[in-house]
Amino acid sequence: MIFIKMFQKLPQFSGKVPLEHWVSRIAVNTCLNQIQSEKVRPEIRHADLSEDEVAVIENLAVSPDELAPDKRFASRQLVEHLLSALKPAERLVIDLLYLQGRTVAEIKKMTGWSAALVKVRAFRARKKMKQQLERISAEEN
Amino acid sequence: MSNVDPKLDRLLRSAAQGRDDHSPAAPFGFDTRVVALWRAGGKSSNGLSHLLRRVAILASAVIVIATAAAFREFKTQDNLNEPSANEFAIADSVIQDEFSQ
Repeated sequence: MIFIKMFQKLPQFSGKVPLEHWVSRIAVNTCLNQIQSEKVRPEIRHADLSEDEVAVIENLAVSPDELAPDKRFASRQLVEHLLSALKPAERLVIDLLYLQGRTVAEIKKMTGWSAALVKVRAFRARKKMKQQLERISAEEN
Repeated sequence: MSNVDPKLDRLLRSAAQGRDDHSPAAPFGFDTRVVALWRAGGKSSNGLSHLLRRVAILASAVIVIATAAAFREFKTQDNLNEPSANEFAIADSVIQDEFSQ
């Protein structure tokens, strides 16, 4: 992302300062913008979802079976949407625990959190995701 | 980990399986746009390439002019050498003649 930005802003490089300084400034600004956007965390609306993601939600509502293999990508996209509304720590724990399939012990080792904290964060994150999912489903109906 | 919601469980399981199904790829035409941007940016960027090009052209011009001037100087010296030698010979013979008289 930083390199793409750097490439896009290349015409703005005056050459008065060393390239390394200019690149590091772009990197810092990009990170600051990302942190700023993390704080906003807008709510997900039904209209923001693609047709496939809506189909996944409908499928979840009507059938108790596992989702079909062709729905995997859409479900992945939907989960990414749901994760974007979570705090970074909650997003991380869901990603590690459910999407990467790590164990609590592994996450504990990676993050330095206690096992209880990992479980609590996962529980809270799941609860929020469930609420988001229900709200989107209600919007649909 | 207790089941908060079976729907969410199914969704997460499906999402986990779909993780490697689609590797992130650049959108269609992305590389073309990058190259076009690079070319466009190169023209009006920091002017470094322009400066280098100008310096190279100037250096070539200086080399050509200096070579031409050196060659011309060499030719002039060549032309001057013979007449002056003759003049010295004439003067020398005149002086010898005067002394001999």
